Parts: sequence; structure tokens; C-alpha cells
Amino acid sequence: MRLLRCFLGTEWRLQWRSLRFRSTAAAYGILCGLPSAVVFFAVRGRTEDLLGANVYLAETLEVQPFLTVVAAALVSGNRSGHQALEQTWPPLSGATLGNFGFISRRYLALATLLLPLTALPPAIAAGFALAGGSPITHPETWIWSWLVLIVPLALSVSAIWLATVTIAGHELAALVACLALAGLGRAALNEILMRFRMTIGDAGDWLGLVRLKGWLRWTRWWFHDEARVEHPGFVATEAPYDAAAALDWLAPRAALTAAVAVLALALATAFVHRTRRDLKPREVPADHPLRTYLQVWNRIRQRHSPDAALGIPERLAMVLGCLIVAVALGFLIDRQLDYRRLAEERYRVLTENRSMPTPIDVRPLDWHIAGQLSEDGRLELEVSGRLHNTGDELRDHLAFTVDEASRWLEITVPGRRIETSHAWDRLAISLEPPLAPSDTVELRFRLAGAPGETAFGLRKRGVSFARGFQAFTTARFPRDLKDLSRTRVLPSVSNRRIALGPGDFGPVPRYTTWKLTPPSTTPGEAGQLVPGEQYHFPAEISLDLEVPPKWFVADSCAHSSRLEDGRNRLRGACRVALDEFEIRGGELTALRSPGGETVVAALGPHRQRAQEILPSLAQAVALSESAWPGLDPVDGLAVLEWPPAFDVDLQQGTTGRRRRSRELLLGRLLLIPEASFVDSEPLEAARLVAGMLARGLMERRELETGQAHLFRSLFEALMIRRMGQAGDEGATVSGPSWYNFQLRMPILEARPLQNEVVFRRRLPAVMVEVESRTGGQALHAGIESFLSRDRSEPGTMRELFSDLEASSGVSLARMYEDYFVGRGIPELRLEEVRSVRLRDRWRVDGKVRNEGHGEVICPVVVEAGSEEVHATVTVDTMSAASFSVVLTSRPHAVLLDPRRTCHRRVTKASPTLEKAFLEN
Amino acid sequence: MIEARNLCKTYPDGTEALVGIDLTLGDGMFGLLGPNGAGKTTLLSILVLAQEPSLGDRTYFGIAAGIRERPRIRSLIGYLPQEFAPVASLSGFEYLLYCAELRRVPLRRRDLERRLWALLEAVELTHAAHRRADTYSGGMIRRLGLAQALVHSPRFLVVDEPTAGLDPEERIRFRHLITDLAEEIPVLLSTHIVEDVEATCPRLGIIARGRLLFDGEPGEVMRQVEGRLWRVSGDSPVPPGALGLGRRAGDGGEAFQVVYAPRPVPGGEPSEPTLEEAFAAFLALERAPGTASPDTASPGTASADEPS
Repeated sequence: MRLLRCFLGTEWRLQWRSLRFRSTAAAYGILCGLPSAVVFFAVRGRTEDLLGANVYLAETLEVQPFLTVVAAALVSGNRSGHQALEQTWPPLSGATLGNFGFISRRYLALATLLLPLTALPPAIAAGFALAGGSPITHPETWIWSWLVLIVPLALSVSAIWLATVTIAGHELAALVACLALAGLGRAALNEILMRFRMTIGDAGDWLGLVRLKGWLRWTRWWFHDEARVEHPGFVATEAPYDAAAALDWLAPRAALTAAVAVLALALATAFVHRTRRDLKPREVPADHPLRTYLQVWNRIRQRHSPDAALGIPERLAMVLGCLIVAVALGFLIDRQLDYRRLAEERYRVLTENRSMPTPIDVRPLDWHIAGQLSEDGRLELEVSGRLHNTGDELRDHLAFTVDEASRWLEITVPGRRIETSHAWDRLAISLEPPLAPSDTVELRFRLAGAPGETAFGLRKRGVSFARGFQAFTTARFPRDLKDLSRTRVLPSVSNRRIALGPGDFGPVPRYTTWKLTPPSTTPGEAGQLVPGEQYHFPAEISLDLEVPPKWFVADSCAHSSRLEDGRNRLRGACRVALDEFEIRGGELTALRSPGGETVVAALGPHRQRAQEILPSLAQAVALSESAWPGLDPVDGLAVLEWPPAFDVDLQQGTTGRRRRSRELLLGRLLLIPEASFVDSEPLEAARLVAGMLARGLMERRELETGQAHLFRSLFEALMIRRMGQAGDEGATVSGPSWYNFQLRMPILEARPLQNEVVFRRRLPAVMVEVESRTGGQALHAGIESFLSRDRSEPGTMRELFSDLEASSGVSLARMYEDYFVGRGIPELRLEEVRSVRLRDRWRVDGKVRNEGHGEVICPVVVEAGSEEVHATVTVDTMSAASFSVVLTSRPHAVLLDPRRTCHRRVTKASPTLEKAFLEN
Repeated sequence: MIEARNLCKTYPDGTEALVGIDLTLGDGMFGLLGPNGAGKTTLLSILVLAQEPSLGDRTYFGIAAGIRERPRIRSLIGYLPQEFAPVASLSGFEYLLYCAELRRVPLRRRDLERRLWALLEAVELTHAAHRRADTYSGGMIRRLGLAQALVHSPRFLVVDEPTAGLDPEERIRFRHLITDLAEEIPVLLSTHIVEDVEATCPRLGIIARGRLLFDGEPGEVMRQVEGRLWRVSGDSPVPPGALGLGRRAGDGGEAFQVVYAPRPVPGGEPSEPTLEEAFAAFLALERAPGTASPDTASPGTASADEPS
């Protein structure tokens, strides 16, 4: 220990006195502190989002890993390079410690120097966070992030650099050696592994260069105002850190590098040069044609030859280093083999097409789920359900979707003999005797396990697993392979969040064929996918699930967990399709409305936001009763703040994907992504409830797939209006210049996510005019007629407009052609407005000009004291229509559509263009 | 007692740095004389376990230099290398402390510091103890080097070319230091400066081309060439059969040259040998094989054609 103290003291003293260390430490602190400084000084004042403390940490972690690599190398190479020059070997040579003792102590001394240095940036970030009024609610997140992302990196790079510089004798030579080893060495290893269809991935994402580049690009971009509208950025989750997932991420990336670092240190013990080189003579004949080169080679050999008379510790260290590298390689290969077997099974199941679905006349009656969820993500359940044969044929085959990671303890069917087959996420049961028509069969399952999904990392964007694995199996070069050791199992239950979907609570009957969709030829669209379930037969589901007290969970029926007799239980019953029943939750704080029908659960730091949201949600739920006669109101709603899936750097994802995502509605369970939850814009509670009501309408009839989003937006807009929560824009639309394209595009061509302006702004405006022209009752009747029609063909927008015409007697054909098929949007103004006195009357003349496209039928109102006279003008594309009104009192103003019932685009200038004051 | 038997060292290019060196070092100071490239540093490196011989055995106070015994042997040896340089950014005191810790000096911190101050005082560096070592003069660095070699109280001290490049005052000061030390422990002084050996060493060895040409008292070296040194005119060429040993100025200011020849040379007068001339004669004879040479094995013996 005394010797170690000596090394520590000397290392600290020498480094502190060295200009290189001081400047490196200063630059490291400043550059790593820069992101949190940017958040504190520049972002905090410009964003309305809640900035949690983790934002400061997350931004720091974008740049810190790579800067840690650089700093660790600079600090570790500091004295190593100077050691030979300073000729400090005499005291070392005479020291009683061996080379191993020297190198290991030197490394430990460096570590004690580096680790506090790397803790500096998070400390700076914490300082900024606290100064910015963001308390640190999860200190363990900070500690784990540092331990996972920074410490292994600093220690590995330090070891590799110390060793390489010691061996090579110069930092430049060490850099060349490291690059050669990382590039050529890995390429050579992968050439060998290619024969076994394996590869070792690079350490790029671990070293953090990609993250640093992303941060630079992102930060520069964010400060453009227009980009910030859709990309708020600077959102880091305040959900707890999932250390197990982080270590699982780290292990395959760091294993080989860390092992190589140990081996390098061990090899370096032979090159400390405490002794003079000892080489056997190699004479170069004087007449040798290559004598000059041979002599140069001799000199290099002498310079880089190992020390003489290595001791036992040095030899043991080398053996141990080799063993560690072998173990690391074995670990990676074993992991790749394991996951490849799993991927092969999944691919086989996906492509064999042998699985037959459950016949659609065998439908679920009721389903009982009871069990408990433990903190380690393990689910133990007993599930019993009854299936009823509504058809007139014997049925002996049942098929289910199950969670791929759950393990079966028992499957029983009272009164019947069964044969089961289970592959990946599919379970098939053969019944003997078969299920007779009108007969009911009861199934009982016992299962236990930690549900989750295996993410192989094979997929690029828009590429399905099937295609990704196909490419993997046919790859010809190592670069085309994926390192399957980096596969991650994404648990359904973690302290980050709980996402139990269909199949996690036991088998869910599968009615739709599993046959893969055809390969897509459209770039960015994934083909060869398992089609979603098309049949959603509701069942009476009862649930009794005990969960750890620290968690809050809610299900699709808006039931939520409560403490009962010291036990946290989620209990309830409702009627819902099994494949749509889900449970979500996490370490959330729940707030309930006075009646208890609405609950909002948020992460601790966002409790205040939940308190702000709750009243508007409760009000919207209450208003839902009057929204649409005949439709069940929303009698309960659970709203959860939804943190992103675990990612080691705490961000929503990579820089390019820092995008505000939409809410996800699962029955009566609404998930608001954390990035949207912390958004300062008022939550559109009415829209959310209207969305739930719209969904209720949509379930009544199958609609054209390509127009489903359009219908949903249309119904949603109607519900909002009927709940009295629509804005005052009426049938008009406005917006900045970059909206023009979307405002002028045919509504039928709008695509979800890409053209949200159409769905969120234009379509509601059009429907205001439709309602204005048809009348509210006729609109209701027309939609009811459309939804209740039992046709084999899915409903379309054109059909809806026909029904509206039929119910109201008003022609909407031109409107449909102009706005839904064509690119029309009117832009109106008043022209040549004047008044003329005719003895005891006044006549007002004028024109309405349409500078846009499409036919418009618009009211003109002439105000005269307490009198208002209305006229209606019909104006076509790029033309003008005259109006003339006779009044008995003196007119003083003419207004174009003051109640905003005709659809058109308005601009900032519109108030003056649409109103004319009369001078008599 | 340090013994080396049949030490050989051959370098990669085939150079024989040491050839069959036999050496026994006891009490007092032993001066190792040799020209540049004679193999002095190689021999010293091997003796201080910094280098492995190609062949031969070493014994230190009865301990053979096997791998397991090296830490023990290292604790017995103090070594001041030829190109000694302390860690630049440490002060003299810190550097000595660092060396002491590396040597695992078994003293408590307070006692160790007391010892270091005593050492600094002995080498006259107390005034600069807290100055960074890179501000030291050449002489101060050598004295600091001597202190580091003594920090663990070795039983045997090896100093390699300690006075090279020092000004006369520093050289004298350093010689006194070593002389004092030699009264307590054996010291092996390697140098090519004859004056240092003459002033301090009761015993010396002459090494050239990796061979130990002489091992004995300085007087014996001179006796070996007695009667074979001749003073000739400084203007005349070296007589045939003689070896020139250099020019010198006489008492009257006239220049003359000293030559070595087994027999009287024409015009030459007998010259009383100095140690330097005797050393030069040994080297000259080594460079000119075939010329009658003094004994190269041990004191008191003579070569075959020596006219004794």
C-alpha cells in the first residue's frame, strides 16, 4: 500500500505540474460542460418545456464519451512518453518491484486521476440543473450513467494507451498501432468469423463519436425557429434508470475492448525497459544486398525488444491477459450463437406458414386473469377463459398468440385431451374431442416468466425482421453481417416502464392468418410483416393483478391500481377485445378526479403538470355525454405519462428522431409521450376524449384502410365541435407560409404524420362548412346512415358525402371535388362595396372575389344599426360575384361571412379585406 | 564481495562488448578506466542487473544473480548511471522520496525524511531541495544522482562517468564525496578521466574493446611501462617501432612527445611514467597488436617478449 501511495502521490504531483494535463483537464471540463451550459443559458429561456435535471445530464452525455476517450489518451500518454526521455529508469531499475508491479500501480494511479476528472462534467451538469431550478430526483441515474457510459471507457482507453505507448515508446507510434489493431485486427478477425457467419461489431457507438457529431448537428439546427416547431428536442426522460438493461447494452460492446486493454497492459510489462535490451546477436553479412534494410530492422528490433529476464508475475499477467481475451471472445461468440438460434427459430416460424389461425366462429366469452407482478419483471399468472363455437362445424384446432419470453407451467382443458405445440410467439392446441357447434370449452393456463421482446438489431428503417434476417443469412462479406451479440431483450416490465400487451397475460386467440405480407417495393415501407389481427371479438375480461407498491398500473378499460389492505392491486372487469387489452404503468404518481373516473399518472418531477391536466380531462369526460347521441360516453379515463423505452444516453433516441410523438390511445387508456407531456402547450383534453369517441364511431363499420385516419380526424373534429371545445376559426384556415402546400393539397392525398395540417386544421374547417350547409341534424343522420349500412365493401369518404347529400338534400358534390379530390381552397375579399340612397331606402352593392380555387357559397352580411341583412353569393375559381342588398335603415358596414361558416383561407390581411365600412 | 566470472556480452550487430571479464570487487574504491566504447557502461549495467550478460556468472556478497534473488540483490546496489536525469518536474527532495519509496526503504515517514535531508546535506543540496530538478546545474544533478543511489543505504555503489562534463570545482567536490563514501562501502567508479582514478582509487582496472587489460594498483600500471617511455622532440616524427602517446609541454615551455618503445629510440630520453601515460600506453598497445605489450592478465606477470 505504501508503494501504491507513492505511485499515486507521484502521478498526481507530476500530472498536476504538467501543462498537458492541466490544459487537457481544463478543455475537458469546458467542452463537456458546454452542452449543459447551452441548455442553461440558451435553451432554458427559449423553450416552454419543462426542463428536468436529466436534460442537463443527457446533453452532457452526448459529448462526454468521445471527449473522455481523447482525455484518457492524453493523460495516460503524458508521462509514458516522457519516461524514456527523462531516463527515469535508474530508480525503477533499482526498485525491488517487478515490471508488473510497476505497470499495474501506474495504471491504478492513472485511474485515480482520471475517474474524478470524468466525474467533473456530470457535476457541472448537476450544478447547472440546480441553478436552473431542476432538482435531481433520481441521483442513481446520474451515477449509473457515469458508471456505464464513462468509467469503462476511461479505464479501457487509459489501459490501452498506457500499454501501447509503453510498448511503442512514442505516442505517434502508439496511435498507428491502435488504429491498425482496431482496423486491420478487427477486419482479420471478422474474416475468420465470417466463415461461421459471425462478426464483431465496431465500438463506434461506445466511443461516442456518432453521438458527438449528432449533438453538434442537432444543437445548431435547433436554434432555427422553424425547425423547433416539430422537433422540440432537449427532452430527456425523468424515469428511473434501468441499470440491468444498461449493463446488457454495455457488455457486448465493451467486452472485447476491455479484454484487449488487460492483455495490452500485460504485454506492456515486458516493455517497461527498466533493464537494457537483451538480444541475441544477429549479424548482417557485409556483402548482403539488403544489409542496409537488415541493419535498420536490427535497430528497430533492438529498440522494441522486450526487457530481459521477465519475472513470474509478468508471465502470469500475459497468460491471464490471453485468457481474458479468449473469455471475452467466447462470451461474444456464445451470445451470437444463442441469439442466432433464436433468430433462426423466429425466421422459420415466420416463413413456414404452417400455423393455422383459430376459426373465426370460435369466439371468446370471458377471460379471467389473476396473478402477480414482481419487481424483477416476473409475471406469474393463472388464466382461465371460455371459447364458444358459434358456427355449425366441429372445431378441433385453436391458435393463440403468446409472449415469446414467457414460460409455460401448465395448460389444461377440462374434459378434453389436448396436444399443444409452441414455437416462438405461437401456440396451437388440438382438442379431442373437438368443439361442437354451440359448445363451449374452458382453457386454463399457468404461466410464469419475464415477458419481453428480443430486438436483434437486424432491421434498418423500413426493413422487417424477415427481410433483415434473410439478408443476414445471405451476406457475402463481414460488413454485411450484424453483430448479433448486441441483441437486446427489451423487457415488458422494468423500473423504466411497464408495457404488458396482448399475449403477455396469456394466450390470445389468433384469427387472422400469420402469412407474411408481400415484400414492399416502396422505399421506407416494410414488407414481409405479420399482418395485424383483423378480428376483434370482445370478451368479458376480469383482472386481478397484484403489483409492487411502488408501481402504478392501469389497463385499457381505465381501471387502475389501488392500495388495498397494504397490497397494490389492479382489479376490474370490462368488455373488450382480448387483443386490445393492455396494461401500462411505471413508477408514476397518480392523481384522481373527485369522482374517481379520471386518473392522471405522471413521473414524480412532473406531478405539477398532472395537476394542471386533470381538471380539463375531467371536464372533457363530462362533456362526452352530450357529444353524439347514441354513442356510449367515456365513463372513465386513465392518462399516463409515457417515458421512452430505455436508451443508455437518456435521450428519446438518436438525434434525428428527437421528434414530438403523438398520444397513444389504448381503449380508455391514454399514453402521452413524456416529450409531449412536458410540453407547455395546454393539453387538448377535448381532442383526446373526442378521439376516443371517434374511435367508438369507427368501430361500427369497416372503413377504407387508406382513409381510416381521415375518418378518424373527421369524427374527432365533429366530436370536439359538439362538445363545444372547437376554436373560433370556424371554417377558415390560416397558417404560416410553409403550410401552403398542405392547405392546397387534395385532402384524400394527405398522409398521416406527413400532412398533419390537413388532418388537424383543414378537415375540421371543411366539416364546419358541411355542417353549416347541411344542418346539424342532417349531418348526424347522414353519418349514422353511413355507419349503419351493412355492406361488404368498406366505407369511403365519397359514400359519406353521398349519404350527407341524401339526408340533407344539399348538394355537396362540388365541394367534394374541389377539396377532397382537387387542390381547391378559396381566398376571398370584398370589392367595390358601396351604398346608394333610394329615397327611404338604401341599397348596398358590391362584389366578392375569389382569388383562390374552388367554388364557394358564402354569406354576406350588411349591418345597419340594429338590422342585419344577409345575402349569399356563389363564387367560382378566380372570379367575382356581385351582390346587392336593399335596407330600410342606413348601412354602415358589410361583412363577409362573419361567423366563418364557409371554408376559405384567411391571412393577416383578411380582417380588412373581408369587412367594408360604408360612408354615406 | 562482488565477483564476476567470464562475463561476455555480444550485441546484435556482432559487436563483442565484453569478452571474458573476470573481476572481484572488495572494500574501497575501484576505478574502471577505459576509452569511449570500451564496454564500461555495459559491464556496469550487467553488474547492476540492468542488463543480462550473454555468458558468465555474478555473485553479490555470496548471492548468485538468479531471477528470484534479483530484488534482494538490487537492494544491495546503489547505481548512478552515466546519463542520469531526475524526473524534471519533481523537486530534489520529492525525487529522492520517490526513489526511496520505490526502493521500499523500511523507515517511517519521519525517519525517512530525516534521512533524505541528511543525504541532501551530504551532497550539499539542502538549499535546492525544493527546487524543481530541471532547474539544477549539471553538478547538482550528479550530486542528486549520487543521493538517489545512496537512498536505500546500499552495500555497494556503482558510479558511471560521474564527473564527465563538470567544471573543475564540481569535479573535485564530487571526487571528495565519492572518496568519503568509499571509506564505508565498496565503490566502483567507471570513468575515462585518469585524473579521477589517480586521485581516488587505490585499485583500478583498464578496459578496452570489451577486455579487461589490467586489474591492480595504479603504481603497478606505471611499473608495467617503466623504462619503456621515451621523451623525443616534439617536431620529430614517432620513431620506427615506437608508439606515440601524445605531446606535452616541458618545464621550460618547450614541446616534446612521449613514445612507448621496448628499447631506447634514437634521440630519445627516458621518461618517468605518469598514470595517464601508462594508461595511454596500454590503449596504444591494444590498438596496435603485435607490439610488445605490458602484462594484460594480472599484476606482476609479463608478456612473452617483455624485457623485464
